[in-house]
Amino acid sequence: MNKGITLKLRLGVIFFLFSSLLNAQQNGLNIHGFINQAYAVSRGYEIFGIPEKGSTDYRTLAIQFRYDASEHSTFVIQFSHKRMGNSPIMQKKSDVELDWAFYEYHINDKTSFKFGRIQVPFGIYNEIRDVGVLLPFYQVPYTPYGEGNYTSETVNGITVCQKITRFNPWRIQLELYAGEWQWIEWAIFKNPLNQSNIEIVEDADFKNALGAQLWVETPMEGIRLGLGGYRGKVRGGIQFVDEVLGEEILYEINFSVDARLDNSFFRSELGRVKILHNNIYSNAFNSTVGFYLTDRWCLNLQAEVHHIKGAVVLPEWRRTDLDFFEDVALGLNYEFSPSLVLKLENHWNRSYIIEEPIDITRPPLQTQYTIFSFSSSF
Amino acid sequence: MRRTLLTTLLFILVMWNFAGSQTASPGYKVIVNEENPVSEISVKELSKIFLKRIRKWDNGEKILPVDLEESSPARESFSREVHQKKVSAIKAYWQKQIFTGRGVPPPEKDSPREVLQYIEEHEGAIGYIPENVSIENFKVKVIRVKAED
Repeated sequence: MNKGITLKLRLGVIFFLFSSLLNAQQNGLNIHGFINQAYAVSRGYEIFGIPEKGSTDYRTLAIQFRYDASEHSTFVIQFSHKRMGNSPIMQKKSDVELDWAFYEYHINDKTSFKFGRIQVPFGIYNEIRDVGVLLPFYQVPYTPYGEGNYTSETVNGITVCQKITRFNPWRIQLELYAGEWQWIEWAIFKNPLNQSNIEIVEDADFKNALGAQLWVETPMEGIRLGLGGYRGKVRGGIQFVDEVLGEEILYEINFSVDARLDNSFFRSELGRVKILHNNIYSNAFNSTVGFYLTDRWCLNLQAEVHHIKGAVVLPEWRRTDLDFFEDVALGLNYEFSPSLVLKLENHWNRSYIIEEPIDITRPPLQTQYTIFSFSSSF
Repeated sequence: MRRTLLTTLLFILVMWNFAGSQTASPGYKVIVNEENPVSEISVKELSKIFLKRIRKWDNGEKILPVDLEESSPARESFSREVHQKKVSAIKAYWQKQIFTGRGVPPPEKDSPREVLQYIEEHEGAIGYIPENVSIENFKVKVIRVKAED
């Protein structure tokens, strides 16, 4: 087919989609989106892709189309563009990615199903991990959510949501999910030949996943408790290849407290991961407290700790316990409106996720990073 | 030491919220289409309707809540009285619903007149307007808001 015909066909398809969207806008189509743009700079070592010389190549942008076909049926699709400076995981990210796409069927007001590529309903932040206007800091806590690579964002499969109202004034919501997902693992080594850094970035496949997230809204307005977890079989990446841990069964559980009061909020999560056959545990804890100084200014404090028990030191196959990640953050947010927020934050970090060749037999490295960002949504 | 720190933090949190407690006068009236058989509604039901937790009237008709734009004083009063929350907290609730794919907020109208027109045109609609705005010449009616169920 020659280029002229191809171009005409493409234009025709775009015109058809555009006119269909305009037509649908009158009949149940909603378009929403958000953007977070940051300037980030680190002092000490590069972390989360933030270089010491600073970078504005740090943003997330998403657009969502929601079509309520009927009272029972909804289609939702969201595309995103994400940049994380020099982070190794950027090697596996396209400029524009499909975040999620699903069909939801409401049997009634209490029960619904979703099919497709769906956000994993895990913890306080997983479903809103990039929605800057809803987050106290630019990023969700590294523990247990990772930097967009470890705790998966989406499951290819099915979720079932059941709301239970019989214990009024307690409100209970249970979501069950099943399917599979991927995550990205990376490591940086020193090339013995020329002393340059070699980055290895690989996808790990998580199959036969089964999970649940329970939320209990208490009679105290704004306070809810969560309990969630999943299990599945993981293979690939860097850790779960035959030469290292091999295929594994992985469990993760997470307990959450989420309190939103009039002039403050408090969120805390305690999680545990178990890698079954190799008997490796990790315990993760994060806690955030925010004080609204005025209607517009909010002061936020956050602490995170991630400890690993039984980590394997290669090539000796020796076991060790690691204070893997510690981060304390202080941030100040200015809210022009609920849909436009400016944030300034500083993090004091001591961890093994510095983007340098790391020796886990030595103490973790310390670094600091500052992020200045704005977030907007519509 | 840690316990003292935690206790101090909790004390600050409690005092901070206590210091910020305030009440607002209503300053709004709740209206529905004049064909709607409902004549009164509880504050709790009203809140659930505007958060789309109740979606149908008793007669099976779909409920269509409509909000005033976020800077309207009547919206602030309605939010304080009915949801017991600031408008910004309700906006945050809806942003969470939108970006988790769970739902979209009621439409927002720029003026009380637009709210009146919307409710006149939709039999299942419900909204609120400032108390001093007349409903004359519109096919709508004011309903009573009960404090309790």
